[in-house]
Amino acid sequence: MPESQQKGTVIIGEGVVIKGEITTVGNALILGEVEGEVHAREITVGETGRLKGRVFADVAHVHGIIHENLKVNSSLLLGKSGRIFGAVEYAEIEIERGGEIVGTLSQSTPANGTKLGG
Amino acid sequence: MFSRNRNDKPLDEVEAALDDNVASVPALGLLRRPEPRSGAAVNKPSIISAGFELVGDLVSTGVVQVEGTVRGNLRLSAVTIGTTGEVVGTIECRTLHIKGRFHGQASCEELTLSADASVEGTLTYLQMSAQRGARIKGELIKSQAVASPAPPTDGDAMLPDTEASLPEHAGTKD
Repeated sequence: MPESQQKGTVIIGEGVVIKGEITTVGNALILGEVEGEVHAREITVGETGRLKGRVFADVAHVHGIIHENLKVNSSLLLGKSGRIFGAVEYAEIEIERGGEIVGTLSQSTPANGTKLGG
Repeated sequence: MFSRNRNDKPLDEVEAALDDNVASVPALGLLRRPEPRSGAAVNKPSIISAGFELVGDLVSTGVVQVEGTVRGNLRLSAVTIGTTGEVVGTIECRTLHIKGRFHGQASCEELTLSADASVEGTLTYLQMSAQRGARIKGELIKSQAVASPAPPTDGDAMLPDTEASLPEHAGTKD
């Protein structure tokens, strides 16, 4: 991928376990396990990804498992292998058949107009 | 009779006209499908049409499509809430497709939310999907066992009392 797109990108590979806080202006790709807090513009939890804690993002693609808290300012896509347990706040949501959410859902005002992240 | 332009007429009128004329117009008779004889297995939905408001409970093994408003409890095989439809109350069914508004508690095996769906309340499902744009506010519960529309423990209290179980501020508009 071009260098400009790599800026601020963090990848937690499969088999990696992290406890703590991740903050990035760019993208976070979670294929391993993260316990703690994640702030990212765009977060992708792969099928092998496990995330426990508080997650804040503008855009989220969830194909793995998220526990506790997920706040998405714009668009949340829950893939068919995705599982979310806990409180979810979103502006726009899409759930593929097979995706699971167990917990409470609330909708924030959609972030209209501004294209996120420029 | 034959000089009238049937295309201008609403469908049910055309159907009525067909009924009148089937004997005399063999070609039209071909358009009419034979009625299914199999009683309960008929999959034709019952339709609560737009502008129609029903207050009460619906219990059936059949399929209901709600384009109007239903306030009460639905216990059916399949429920579709159309884009103009609104249900306030509880729904228990196998297949639930929401395109319109729903407020209350629903329990189903297969839950589908269309882009225009607006849901507030508690949804219990076995498998679900939601199109982008669907609005969900409330609680989602994944049922552990295969959801049965008729839980054996419920006994006589199958349907909660309509008045008591209706959520507050029923007619939530946008």
